Amino acid sequence: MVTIAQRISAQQSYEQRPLWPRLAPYLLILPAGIYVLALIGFPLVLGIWYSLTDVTVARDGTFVGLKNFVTVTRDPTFILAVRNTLIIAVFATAAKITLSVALAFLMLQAFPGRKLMRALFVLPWTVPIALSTIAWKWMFHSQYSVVNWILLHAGVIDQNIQWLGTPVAAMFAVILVSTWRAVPFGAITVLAGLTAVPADVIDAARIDGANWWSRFISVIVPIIAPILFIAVLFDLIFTLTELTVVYLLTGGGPVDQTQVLANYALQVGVVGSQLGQGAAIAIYMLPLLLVLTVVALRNIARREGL
Amino acid sequence: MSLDGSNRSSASVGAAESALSRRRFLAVSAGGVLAAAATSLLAACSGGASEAPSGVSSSSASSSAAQATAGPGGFSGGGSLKVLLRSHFVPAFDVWFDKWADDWGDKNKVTVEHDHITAGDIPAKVAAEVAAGGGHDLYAFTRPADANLYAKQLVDVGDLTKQVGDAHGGWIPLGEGVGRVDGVWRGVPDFFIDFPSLYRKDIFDDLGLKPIDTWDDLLKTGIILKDHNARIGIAINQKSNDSLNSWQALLWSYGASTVGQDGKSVAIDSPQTREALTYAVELYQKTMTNEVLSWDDQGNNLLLASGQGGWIHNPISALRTMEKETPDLAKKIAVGNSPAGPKGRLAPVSTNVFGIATWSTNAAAARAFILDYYGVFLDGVKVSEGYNQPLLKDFRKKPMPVLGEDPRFGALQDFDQVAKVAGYPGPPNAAAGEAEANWIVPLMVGKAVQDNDVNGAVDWATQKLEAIYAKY
Repeated sequence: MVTIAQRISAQQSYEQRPLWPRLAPYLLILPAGIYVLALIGFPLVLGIWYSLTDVTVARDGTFVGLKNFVTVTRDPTFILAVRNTLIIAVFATAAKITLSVALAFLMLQAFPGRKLMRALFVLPWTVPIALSTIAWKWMFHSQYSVVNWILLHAGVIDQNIQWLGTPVAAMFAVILVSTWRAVPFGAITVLAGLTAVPADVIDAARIDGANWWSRFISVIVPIIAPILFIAVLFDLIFTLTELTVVYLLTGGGPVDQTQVLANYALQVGVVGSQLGQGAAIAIYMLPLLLVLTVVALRNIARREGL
Repeated sequence: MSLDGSNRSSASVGAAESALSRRRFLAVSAGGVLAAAATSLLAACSGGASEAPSGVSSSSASSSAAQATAGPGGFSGGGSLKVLLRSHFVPAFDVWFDKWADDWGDKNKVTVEHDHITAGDIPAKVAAEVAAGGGHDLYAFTRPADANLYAKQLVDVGDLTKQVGDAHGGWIPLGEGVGRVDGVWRGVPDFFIDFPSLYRKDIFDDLGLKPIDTWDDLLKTGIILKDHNARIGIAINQKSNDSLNSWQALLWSYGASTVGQDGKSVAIDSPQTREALTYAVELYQKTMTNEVLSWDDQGNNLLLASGQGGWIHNPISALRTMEKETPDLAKKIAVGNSPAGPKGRLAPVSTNVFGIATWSTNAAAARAFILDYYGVFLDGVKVSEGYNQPLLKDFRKKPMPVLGEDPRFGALQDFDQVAKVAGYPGPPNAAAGEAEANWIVPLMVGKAVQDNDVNGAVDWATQKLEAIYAKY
């Protein structure tokens, strides 16, 4: 009763307030709303519409229903792109989150030059991805690879590895560059979680005899689980939608062996001029992304008992 | 851990609100990520996600640049003119062109903006602007089928091509093929880029080898060259125009093609294709290394420039670059023809074609610009050091500038006789353009080479091509 009375009272006082304070929050959020609608909402709706038409870059399309979605399933390159996207997503996400946690723990420790090291660790994330990927492309160059030079001089290999010319090595290169780029962001995210772990809880676990691994698994991970889930979610979604690394590093080669959905959507939709089919290829990833998001959110809610 | 129980039970209302806020925050974050991810994928299809380097307006000047001709196009309307064109493989041409364009703009009171991006990035840029229904006024298309693909977005330039053609002896058939669509001129042909071979004459002479004339010669000679650490190199990769040109040249000279003369019937599944692919697999295995599977258009140039290459299939721009960067090595390079096959010598060429967009608000300036450009066309040929091959008959009269003045390039004066474009033996229509844009031929060769399976590669290409041609 008391609660209801308070709510009614609060509602009345809210309605009695002048118009401007009541409108202010909406006005303040309006630019962000317009931004989201214009740059995310509109392309999303337009893309879904495109995927249901036979529109090309040169002519308007007509509604064709789900034809584009059916057609692309018969395309062997699409199947290859789905396979590669999933392989890269699994391996790169696993590598990213593992290294992110490791790096976060490293950055958490007190050691000489920590500030400098923290700044250096963040560099890959701050360098424009197009520039860094082109630099990696030169490091993997068929003739002038500095990676090969180092490995040759270290006696690890006795002849050049064609990093971008053989399927497995090219896939490794894509995963490596993608991981190298994303780890700093993941580490910062995890670091934010780690700093929120109460020291007394860790101390209590230590006094109870928990070793480092037990403390990590049984104490730290449950506490930072929501942050970890978000970090994994970010990594997974960014990796699933990765375009730049493949576009600039391999172009999908050799012979489509690193072709991924985002790059293939661009290839078919824009370069190949078939906007409708390209949009359908892009849309194919939406249900998976949606499921991932819902699963992650439900998991977080369950952990928080909400 | 005890954290779950004790902390939660002792949590205050404020803490609960805080937890709720955090959940909301997480939900919003995750939802935002999902939307952003989906958008990035979809943007890929609307051109927004293209990582193509942005256009670079240049206003650098060259003292040797020719003066702009004032007003033969009869234009005096002012305004602005935005031009999109490739970054030329001979950088001096861009300097000359930009200077000429700026001078032309000054004399005609037109603000000329010239944006150069790499030839490989132009299709995505044009596609994005077409989808947006706006952008540049004047495009210099780099793919032979682009005038056909964008016919509805290009104004009729029949009067312009007639005026230019009449003034310079008319267009050669290759020019008409890339400029005219269903009887209407949608593009004004600029130049084509020949596709000869470049080889180490010193090594050939030392080993007593004759210049390559046929694909069979290339196989036999390539084996010897590889043994002498001077391997040959032809890219087998997507996103490589050199790869596309070389392997189409092989197919055509073996009598194979992706499509029939009608420009509609898929013709890739043929004994000639299998014969050519069998040869390609043998050529790859015996004369090259797997480096070619990762090459872009720079790959074979760098091989020759490294001193480890014996023969490459490439425009003369590779040699022009070497003349500046490794002049001693460049003196050892000779120029040969594109190899011939059982059915003759045929070579695909890239073309530059001007197109005026329907959304241009200053089409009159664009017309005058093009008209005046042909007044200084041969200056451009000279600055390009023979890279720009004219498509007008008068400009091809021997001796041609540059090519006719150096015995090494003499044979290139007749390159128009072997030059063909996308869709051969049919017209360079939109379907042919899409087939090229999707790298079907080099990918087919790549599959044959990688899996050592000629039939599987032909089946793959047939499926892809039939899916493309079925849409037109």
